[in-house]
Amino acid sequence: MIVIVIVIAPLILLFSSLLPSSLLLAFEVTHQIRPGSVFETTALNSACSTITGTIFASRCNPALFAYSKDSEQKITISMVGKAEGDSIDNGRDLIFKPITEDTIRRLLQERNFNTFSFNGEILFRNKFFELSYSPYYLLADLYIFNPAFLEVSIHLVSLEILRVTHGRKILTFSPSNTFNLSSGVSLYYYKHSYENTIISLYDLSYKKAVDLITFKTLYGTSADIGLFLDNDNKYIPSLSAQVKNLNNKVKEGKENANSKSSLYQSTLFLFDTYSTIAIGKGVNTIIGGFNVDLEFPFDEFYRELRKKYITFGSKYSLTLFSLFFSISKYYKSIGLRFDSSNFNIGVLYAREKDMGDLQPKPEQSIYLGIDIIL
Amino acid sequence: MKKTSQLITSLLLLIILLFFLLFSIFSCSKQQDSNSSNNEFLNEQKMKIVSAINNKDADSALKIISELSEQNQEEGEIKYLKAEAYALKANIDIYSLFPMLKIKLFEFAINEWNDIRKYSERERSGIGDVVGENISDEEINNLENKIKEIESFPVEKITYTITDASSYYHEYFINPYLTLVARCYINLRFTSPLFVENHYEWSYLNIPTKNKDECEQITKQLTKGDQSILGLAEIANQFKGVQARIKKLAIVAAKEKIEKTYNRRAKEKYIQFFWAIYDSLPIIKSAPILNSNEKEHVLQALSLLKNIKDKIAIEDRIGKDSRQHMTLLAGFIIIEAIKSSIDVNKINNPSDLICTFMPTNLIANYPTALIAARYLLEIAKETGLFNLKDELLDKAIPFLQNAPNELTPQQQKVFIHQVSKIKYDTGC
Repeated sequence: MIVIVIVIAPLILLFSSLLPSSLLLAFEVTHQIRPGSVFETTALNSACSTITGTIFASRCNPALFAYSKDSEQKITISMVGKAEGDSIDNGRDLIFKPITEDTIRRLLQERNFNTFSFNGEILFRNKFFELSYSPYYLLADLYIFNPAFLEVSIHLVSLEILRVTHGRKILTFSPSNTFNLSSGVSLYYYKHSYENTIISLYDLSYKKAVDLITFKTLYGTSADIGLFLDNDNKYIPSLSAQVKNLNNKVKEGKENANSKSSLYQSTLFLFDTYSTIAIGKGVNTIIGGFNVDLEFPFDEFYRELRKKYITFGSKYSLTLFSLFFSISKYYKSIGLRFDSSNFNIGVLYAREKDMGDLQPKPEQSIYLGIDIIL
Repeated sequence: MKKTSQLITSLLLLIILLFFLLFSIFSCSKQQDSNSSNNEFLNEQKMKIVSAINNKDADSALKIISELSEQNQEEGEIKYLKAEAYALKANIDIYSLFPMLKIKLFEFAINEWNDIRKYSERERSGIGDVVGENISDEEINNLENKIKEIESFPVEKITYTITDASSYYHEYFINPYLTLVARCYINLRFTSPLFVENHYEWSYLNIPTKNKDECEQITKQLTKGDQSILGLAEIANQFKGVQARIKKLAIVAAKEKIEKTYNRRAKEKYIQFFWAIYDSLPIIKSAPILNSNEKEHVLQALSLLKNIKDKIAIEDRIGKDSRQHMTLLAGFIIIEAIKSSIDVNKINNPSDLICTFMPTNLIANYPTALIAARYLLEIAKETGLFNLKDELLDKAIPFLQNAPNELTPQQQKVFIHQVSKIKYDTGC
């Protein structure tokens, strides 16, 4: 078993990098809230796969399940979503007010990308496994472009997930310091309803929006696998390697492309198969615990490093208070969380460019996260 | 021994992971074939073009496109973006199109413009009326068929009915014997099934009579259609040429009817044209006047969009959008041509519109408006825009295709004359 994990997994990773590349996708969009996200993973923009000993650890990396502090059974209800922001304001205007020339002008010139995302789930954990059910992962992206002949790219997703996670230490060795190698797997069943289309303002002028949007549904089983190598040396960092969304039928929106010439929104690091390598370290001091993590994301099976999305995340915690900070080319966020025995609440301020360089200026958003521990 | 083995294994794993990390970061992305490299390059360029267009920087967008290889410039999406950049360069963007879309945004389809009358107190409105209602040649065709029928109809079989008769009795003496002569002059109005509509013809009889009473008696019998009276030698003799005359007159009457129909329709079309313009004044007012450069850019955009339309099916996004944008741009050109021919600020009622209409300005814009109209009807034929009937479009499209690209001085003169006549009739 150990041989398989040690030898086969890296070989798969290495050989997979030689697979032929596919087309770069148009309108690449990333999000802070991903399927399975809780407040902490959102606050760290998923740069957390080497941060152990937290309630959210196995969300970042299934191999970290082995580091769960609590062995008692727990049921947690978690919710995280965008509570306020420019997108929310624009969405409100678009839905509840007549579309005027001013609205169009404002959207085009100031904020042509508007997004809303939310994840809610109920989670049961014991010392053997973690079972979670997410009735709603919601995503609504709206990109308005081409003022010459206005088009609206719409990506709507409603995702339902049932997930089971397990991880364990598979190897311990102590040359001068003790090293622990853990592996973990998170298997999940999903129902992915989506619409990813582009409509013109002309379409809207003679058809109702409901006639232009037709939801399609994909069902399937997918998995995340992770490795984590930890040590007790103050200076040697921890390492992790993960492959996410193995066997997922949702391919960055490609499945919805109706022709080679079509543009469409392509979501990165959400439903598509992607992989990460991370390096990080945690230190406990008398003034609190510090954790840092640097995450390197790759397309598919380590095919290509997406340098623009390399993310640094850090966490500082002191008793019931935690401070989160993350930064990458397109995201900067800072968040606070207060814990109690039955209730955690977190608030996050983010400046984000989900569409990267295509977005004229960053959106300022407030995210809220709530955990209810039963 | 076991510990040593574990140590070696662990170090090996660490080395592999670190190696892999460095390998991935610095060299992975080089393994790509040339095809996908070009695709990636092209998509990156597309994104830059979209970004430039979003910033309304048409020059930068066109510059990026011009730097692409010829093969890449032929790609559908690139060609479409080029058309969009030209439209922007002509200052036609969503803000100028918005008033056109706003009419029915979320209420009515633009391709159902005929329904706009529901929003208007007037019955006559919409471009669809002008284009669609009176192109039918059915009436003209019927008349032409009628002429052929009359021409081939045997003269001896032509029937007629006397509908009215009036007489005049006259006595006089003939020298040198002072013989008294009495004559009965009868005016007859008669009709024939050969005539179009309720056409009548007049004839005149000059017959001998004994006295005034007999003259009146004959007249009454003729009015009642008494065939026996027609058999009288003198009367029958004078009726001999009537059937041939009816035939000739029926042909003349049918031809006159065709001429009148044409004239009436021409007048109706002008009136409808002005009604449609009057109804569309809010849109026309909001349309900017394009200078010649801008007009040239719109025509370039239209030409590119037509090229896309001819190659890409409507089911494809680019295919659909190119057709939709063509419709708007073509409509825009036509509206602009009309706007430059009227003084929108002086129009308070339809007669103001007629009185301020400047036919020479419309003549100047005729070449571009003609191109736009050709594009518009082509789209209408393909997509059912304006709900025009196929048979009408089958006639209108070749008509526009064969129309001269520029009006001759003679044609210009006729147009100006007809507009002047309408202005005169309106009391301008």
